[in-house]
Amino acid sequence: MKQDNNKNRCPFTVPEGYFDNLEGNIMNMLPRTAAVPQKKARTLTFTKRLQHIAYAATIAAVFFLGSYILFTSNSKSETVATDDYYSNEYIDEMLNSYPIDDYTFYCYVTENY
Amino acid sequence: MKGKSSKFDEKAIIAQLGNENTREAAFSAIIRQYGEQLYWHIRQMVFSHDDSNDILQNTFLKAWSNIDKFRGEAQLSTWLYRIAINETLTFLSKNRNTISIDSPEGEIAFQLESDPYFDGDHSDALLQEAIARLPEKQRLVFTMKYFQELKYEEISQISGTSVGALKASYHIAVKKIEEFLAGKD
Repeated sequence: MKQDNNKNRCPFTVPEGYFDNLEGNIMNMLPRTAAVPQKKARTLTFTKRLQHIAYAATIAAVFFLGSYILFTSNSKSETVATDDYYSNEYIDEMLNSYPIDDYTFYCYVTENY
Repeated sequence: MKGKSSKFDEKAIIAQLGNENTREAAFSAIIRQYGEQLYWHIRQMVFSHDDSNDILQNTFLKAWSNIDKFRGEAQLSTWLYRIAINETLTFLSKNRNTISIDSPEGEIAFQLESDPYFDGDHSDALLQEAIARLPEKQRLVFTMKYFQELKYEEISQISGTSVGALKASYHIAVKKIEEFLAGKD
């Protein structure tokens, strides 16, 4: 079979029936992608919607309650820490007013802690 | 660029490509429309039928895999030509030993004359040898202009080269072919 659509002669030929089968041959080679199943849109009933709202409200309530408890307990522990706090000036004054030397102070500290 | 049938409605085909249900039928119509034209373009570059068939199949496989990227900015034929040219040039660069400028003079013509799918005489074979000895881009321009009879503007769209540069390439290619054939007289 010769090429016949060009004015300038092309001396090449193809096997008989090549162009008749070309379309089918190439189509058979094409990779087919599997059709992706479309997800069905979910429709919620009224009771389901109420249930979802109730779940959300419960979660929010637990979250706020938890946050409140955590916040108040932190405030208390901060207060205790403030009560236990003594300034350096106060400690120096105390040490100077008590007649104990460094060694006695060292023994006292190591025995008690 | 003209295809096989004047009934081919490119806009409708492009719209069908966008729909999964009609995509295969549209692609089938594209092969019917441009398959033969692209085959001859490839064949004039690589000479062997088997190689041309492989390249054509790869061209359509690439087009199919990248069909989502075709935006319709260029004509379908221009897009397909570009893929075919890339595939052909890739093949030629990988198979330089098959038919190349480095082959001894007369060998390419001899190979062609012994090919069962070559129907030319000795002067046809010599012309093909002269074309085969051109650098790839000149060869591309020459075959598109001389055998496919595409306009410079069309070749420019496909190759992305300016019309002026294409005219210069074609002119140089013709000179080289004339010189080669003159040496054979």
